Amino acid sequence: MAFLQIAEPGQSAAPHQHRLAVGIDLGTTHSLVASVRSGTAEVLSDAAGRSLLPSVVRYAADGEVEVGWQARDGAAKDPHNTIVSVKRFMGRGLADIAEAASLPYQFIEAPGMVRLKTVAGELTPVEVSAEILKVLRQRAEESLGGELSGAVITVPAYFDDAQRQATKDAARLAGINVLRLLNEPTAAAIAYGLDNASEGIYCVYDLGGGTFDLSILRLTRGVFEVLATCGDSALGGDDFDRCIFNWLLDILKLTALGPEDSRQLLTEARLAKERLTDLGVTEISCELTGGTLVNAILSREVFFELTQPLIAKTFSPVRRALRDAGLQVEEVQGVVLVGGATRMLHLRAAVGEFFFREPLTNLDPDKVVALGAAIQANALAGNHGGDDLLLLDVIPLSLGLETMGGLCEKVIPRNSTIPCARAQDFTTFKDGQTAMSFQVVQGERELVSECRLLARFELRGIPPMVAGAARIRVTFQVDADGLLSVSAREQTRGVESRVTVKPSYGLTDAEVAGMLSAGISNAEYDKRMRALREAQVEARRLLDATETAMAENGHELLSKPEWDAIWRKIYELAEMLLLGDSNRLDSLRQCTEALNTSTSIFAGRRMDASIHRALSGKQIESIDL
Amino acid sequence: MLRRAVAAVKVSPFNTMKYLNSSNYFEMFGLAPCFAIDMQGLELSYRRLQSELHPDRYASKNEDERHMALANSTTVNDGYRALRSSASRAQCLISLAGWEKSNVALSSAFLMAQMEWREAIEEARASMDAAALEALGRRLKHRVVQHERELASALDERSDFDAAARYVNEFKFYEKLRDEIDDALIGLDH
Repeated sequence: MAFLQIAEPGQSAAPHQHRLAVGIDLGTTHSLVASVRSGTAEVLSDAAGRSLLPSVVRYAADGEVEVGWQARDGAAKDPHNTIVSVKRFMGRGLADIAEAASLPYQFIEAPGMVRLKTVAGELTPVEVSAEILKVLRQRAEESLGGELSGAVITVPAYFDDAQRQATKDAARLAGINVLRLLNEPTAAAIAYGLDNASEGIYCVYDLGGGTFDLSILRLTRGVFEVLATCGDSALGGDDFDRCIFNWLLDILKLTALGPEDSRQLLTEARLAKERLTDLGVTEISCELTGGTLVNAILSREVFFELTQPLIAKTFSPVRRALRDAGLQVEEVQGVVLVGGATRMLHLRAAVGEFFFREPLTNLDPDKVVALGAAIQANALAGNHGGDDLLLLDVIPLSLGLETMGGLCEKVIPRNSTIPCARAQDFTTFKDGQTAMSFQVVQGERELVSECRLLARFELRGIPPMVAGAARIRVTFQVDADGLLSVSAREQTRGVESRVTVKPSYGLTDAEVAGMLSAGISNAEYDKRMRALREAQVEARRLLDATETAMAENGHELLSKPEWDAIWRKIYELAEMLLLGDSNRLDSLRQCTEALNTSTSIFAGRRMDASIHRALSGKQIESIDL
Repeated sequence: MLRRAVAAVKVSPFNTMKYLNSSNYFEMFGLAPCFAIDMQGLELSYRRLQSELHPDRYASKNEDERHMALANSTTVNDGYRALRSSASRAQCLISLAGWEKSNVALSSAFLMAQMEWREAIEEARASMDAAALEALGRRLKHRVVQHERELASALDERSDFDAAARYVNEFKFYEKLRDEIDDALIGLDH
């Protein structure tokens, strides 16, 4: 492509194409997918008209994988192979999962992230999550009638780097192009803010199935600026179920339940919790495997008392976020409730009391995150109507390096607006030292051992110098997804050695690639999509270049028939691009080639003209050949 | 002034995007280089720049442009952070003036006062007295406001960079005290 060297990239000749982009709320208990259609965000339903997809995956011995309602209904029968609330294990080690002992799974400790032993073999939480995402992708493609160009996937604001990276990998595994990872409370704020045309300081209180997030935002004419975020990535609606579960064990003197019974009793506990939103008293009754009958009456008052400590626990992150944002509680103009768990009446009352105002609940707390994500996806895909929306989000946890004595030196403090970069200089402590190792950590504690280790890397090739003379600059860059990359470089004596790491959590790129190719059909599909995307990019690039070149000196270098012939090819290719059909890969390539060929004479003349321009006015001897 | 600076980095989709020059944050945000800046003007200018340069605006563009958007948006965030806080804004002005570090030693009176602050915080923390910590926080806030006034006078009225550098140095102590009070309050929460 001769044009690329001489033409400035401009805008494509293709009339604006509507790209299919969706927002996915990959939740602990439920997942949803939403999209913007004719200007409004809506949640996409399955064939039975249900919008929620339970985040439950069941593996069968014959290799069959069930996801959703069916899997959830089978959870009690086959607890070992039915993975519920997998989000709690994303990017986590066994030690991070406090309730591991009471769960019916066979966990296997692996570096960085746990694995689960099932009849389908050892699985990572990433693979399990990918099954949920695949179902959502399929639902979206069926109801939108085409291949997805990309998705915005939401994560709890308080997710650390490992949890975010794991989520992105799961999407990759499901064949989804991730446009952006978006924090759940921010997504909710978008849906609310745009819906109610709000301005000012808003708090989003998001209690999901397994995570709690609190974000404080300033809304100003389409700009959503997160001022602070805080939370607890191990506190959610599930814990309220567990409270009832433990209460049942206690009053009924049940001990040593098997996994089937545990699962069943947990389900009964959840249902009782949900019933108490509408009823003052509810009955829990079921039969356990050994024939033991469970019968109990639970009143709202007892439930409230049992779970009050959990609610109280949410307010400590709220206070911290307010403090970080430098705000008083009175300055908050509205509180938005997100997540199914915020339906609980005593929680609503407690939030209202804390903020001195009734929380906003006019959007469905289950759907609001997916809706916000869909709006953001639409904007990122470049579709019409997204130009006036801008999100300025923050990182939830400080990022730092280990220094001498196991202390943590913060490089980027929590609540820094992303994208951001910060550099810090370090030096050698021994004469002639030529290598240095670094540990990258995330967290608020002073001691490295109490923070999360994200990566370990070594910088080699430092020129030998006396101790303290070398200057090693370590740069942290956090991108708009909140993902970190780190590079280090020795700066004295002009010798540069450079290393860049992406923090890992136990899954290497090679492992992810291995998982990708494991599913042949998936890999085939991916390959086809990738080829198509490449061809589209190529076509767009050629269109841009040709158009710009034509505008620049087409009139002066081309005859009228030549000019018309090239424009004909431009229109043909632009039209082809607009169809965006994956089966048309060959014709897209042909069309691109045809345009390329038709411009070869023009490209040659432009090259001559530019050489001529460069040479004119110069003495021949001044030209360095 | 503000309009001009924003226009200078306005990115037209028809031109190749350029890396933002980050040598002078005041210029980047279209502000006159002084300590007492118009905070609302800064915020407005910040949002306008990010509206143009944020990676979200380039999500469907090629890799080079996405990379540039990441770099530019990072620079704008960095500048915003630097100008928003008093201490770093003052430091920016001192650096812009080309003032070289000489003697920024802290007075013994200042250090004594620091010791007292620290003891008071420690005492309140030990006796788990949230109200006392809140009161210390308010007192500190008041002190910081006074300090900002002194800094403004040194930089904007007297161009006394020696004094300004010392005030900036002292500011770091106040920031540290504020962190300590916050940490103590968070500690009481648990």
